[in-house]
Amino acid sequence: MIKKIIAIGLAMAPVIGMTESAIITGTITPRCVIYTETAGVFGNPSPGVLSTATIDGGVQPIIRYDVLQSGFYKAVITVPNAFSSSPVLTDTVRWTGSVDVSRVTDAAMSAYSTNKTVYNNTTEITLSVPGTVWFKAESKAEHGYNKAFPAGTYKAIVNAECIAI
Amino acid sequence: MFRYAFILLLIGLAGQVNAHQFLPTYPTFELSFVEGVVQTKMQLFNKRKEIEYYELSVYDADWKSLSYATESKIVKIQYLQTKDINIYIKKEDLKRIKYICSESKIQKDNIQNTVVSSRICSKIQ
Repeated sequence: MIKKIIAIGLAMAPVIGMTESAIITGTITPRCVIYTETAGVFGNPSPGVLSTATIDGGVQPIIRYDVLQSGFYKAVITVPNAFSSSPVLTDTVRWTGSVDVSRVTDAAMSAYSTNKTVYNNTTEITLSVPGTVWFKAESKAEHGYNKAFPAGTYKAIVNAECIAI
Repeated sequence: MFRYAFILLLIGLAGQVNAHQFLPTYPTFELSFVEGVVQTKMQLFNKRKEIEYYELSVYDADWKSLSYATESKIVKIQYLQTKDINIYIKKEDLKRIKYICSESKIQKDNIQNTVVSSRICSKIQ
């Protein structure tokens, strides 16, 4: 009987004494994620104007950028200079627009409001601070000289890009 | 440390919004099974509910398109799906290639007045 107990004990010993170590590794790699938080809606404050400005009854498109590390990406946001779909227009459309910082998770990001390059209808901002930043894009379309837009649905596209640098 | 934790928390809480991710940031090419052709693997993640298709493109430093091969240049990808994509280019184009981009494609019947098209470009260093 005692021999059997010793034999079982010896057989169990390696199992009881066995330990395993689990290694947890984590790597933070540079990455950029673009979130389209608000698509935006044109308001129609007067017959010849379509605008995303809140004061004009519109909704501004809000685009959120997440970057885990600084200096690896630049945000390039292009406001529309044409409708992607619309009724047939009989006059030219004058487009204006701008991009600005809406919200930040780091106070240093407020510098994005001034440290930006603007050309044509495009705004470039180097994402030099890790974290999340929200940009708002404003867009306004005016038809001819105080000329009413024909009835119908108007659509325009805001391009939000994240380019590795 | 807390900053990174906060960022990761924000990403984790991002279920309410729509996102587009394209990795790696700096892809590297390796030899493929075809002689004279090199390949790299990209990963596309679609968290934009209204987007089903992404277009891939390859550019040089002057943003001129370069020829490349892949399974499909327009990638159909479901919401919350991750897709691995192999990009093949000629070995001789290795010195010219600079960017690999994925761009969301917006369908004509999208009901929004203004829509946001997202494009993410990785860079070959």
